[in-house]
Amino acid sequence: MIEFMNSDFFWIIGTGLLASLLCSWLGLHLVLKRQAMMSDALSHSVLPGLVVVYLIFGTLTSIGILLGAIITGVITAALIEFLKNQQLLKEDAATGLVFSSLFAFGVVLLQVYAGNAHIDTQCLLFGELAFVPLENQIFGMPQSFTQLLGLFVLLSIILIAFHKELVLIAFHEEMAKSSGLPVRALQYGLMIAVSAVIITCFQSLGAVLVIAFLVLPASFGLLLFNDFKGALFGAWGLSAVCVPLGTMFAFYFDNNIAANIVSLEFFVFIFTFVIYRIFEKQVRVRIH
Amino acid sequence: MNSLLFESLFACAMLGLACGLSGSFLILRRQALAGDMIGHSVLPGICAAFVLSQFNTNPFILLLGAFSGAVAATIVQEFLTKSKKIKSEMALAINLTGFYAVGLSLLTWIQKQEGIKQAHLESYLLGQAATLSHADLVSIVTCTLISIAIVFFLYKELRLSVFDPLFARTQGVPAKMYLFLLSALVAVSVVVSIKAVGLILVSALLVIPASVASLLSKDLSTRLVLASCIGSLCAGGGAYLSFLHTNIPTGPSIILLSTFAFIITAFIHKKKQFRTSS
Repeated sequence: MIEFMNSDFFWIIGTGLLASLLCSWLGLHLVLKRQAMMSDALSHSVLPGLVVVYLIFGTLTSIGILLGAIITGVITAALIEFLKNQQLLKEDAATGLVFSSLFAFGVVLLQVYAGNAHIDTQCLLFGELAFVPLENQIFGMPQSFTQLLGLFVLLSIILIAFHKELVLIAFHEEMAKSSGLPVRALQYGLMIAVSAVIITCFQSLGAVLVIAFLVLPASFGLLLFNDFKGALFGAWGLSAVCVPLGTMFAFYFDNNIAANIVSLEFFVFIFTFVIYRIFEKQVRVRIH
Repeated sequence: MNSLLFESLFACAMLGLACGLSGSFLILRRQALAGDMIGHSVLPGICAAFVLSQFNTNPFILLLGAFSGAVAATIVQEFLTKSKKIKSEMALAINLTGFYAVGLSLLTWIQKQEGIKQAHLESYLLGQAATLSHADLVSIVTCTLISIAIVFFLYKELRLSVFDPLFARTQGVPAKMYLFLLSALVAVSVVVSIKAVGLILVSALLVIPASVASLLSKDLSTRLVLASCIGSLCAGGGAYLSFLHTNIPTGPSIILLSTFAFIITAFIHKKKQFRTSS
């Protein structure tokens, strides 16, 4: 085990941990607003944004990617809202329709116009944390790590500044509306933040596993605690345990790092849930 | 049109029919995204079946694996939503990624094994109708016929269980069993569709034709007929388009065609609404 305790290993765990901490913080807001599946929608619908940015600018710079993702994220949320408000579809069907259509559009654009683009569909779907140490270095740190760190600092300032408002919206939307909060603006802000995080984690986690980083630790926290701070504490605790352990598993078995981290988190969640259910049932029996 | 092309197009039309049928019930139950969850959860099933059968590439074994993955995910979903703390959309997202991650770990492990015949399991992600074999066609047709038979003969019970499970129980109809049967129907349609449409977009084939039908009619039986017709037309047409332009994968082409159908229908629907209101 000692032989892979080198700087590569450190950067991989660091990037995974940073991604997980940031994702679970945002994910907690999403889950509380009962929009867990929005993470699924946003993570798929950023693909056409990426391709369009590539087709317009010819290259994929980090700023371009970020802008493309944010714009497609807002478009996705707006389209779903439109279909719902026009009473054409219920929310779940609208979500399913919008994100799969956008994803399909992205794949077709990619195949037809950007055949030689530096976007590999398989890479987008899987992601590979193991490539992090091989990236260009910025300020002596791998690119993904630096980007995540910048985003983490920026978003934590915003999340702390708007903490009260966001929690009020999450727990009691009507009251937030009646007290004059710009609920819609904050909702779209949350969507923008989630899209930005998703696109930053894309290369290392892949389109599907980033959903797990957003939703799984947050749900774990909510299972154990009833208040926001407790849930965040639980979510971060799960990340702090599972990211290093999963990475070690992946190194040991020569497997996909993000997939192993998420599998581990999934098993821990199911295990905790089973224990929670037994406990819940006992309490109910005692009350009756 | 040669017979091979005709066979694949026929297979796509049949699976579009099955998806439209079970998708209509999903939309009524407001579980449109359950199809997405089931679509992702077949991956560990396929991989596990491939490993357990000593790397056998027989499509029936892989189908059986996919089906057991889908059933396992449905059961876990039911179990998770039993607690009030876990809401249904949370459970969906957790299951979707959890099962997918386990499947991806297995797939990576399989791909790193040397000296075994690879089954190109990664082609299940986006789908390619050209890879459909004769055995796939047989399984698709069988599953579609079974779905049609179930919906046709149990129509009254299914309708009652979907609209009002409590009332169904007072009438002596075991609603829970019928709802589980519907979930199994969804699982079957997803499983037979993934090879052509891909596991990421299969949920759209469940949702979009059924959504179009929901705009056109309020009556369930009409909706079912319409959804299956639209589903098979879009799936067959989309597959044909992807055969004409070989660099477009089948799944995205089918989905874009259905989305086009939806946009046109929604436009007409809104116009009609506007006219009746003014």
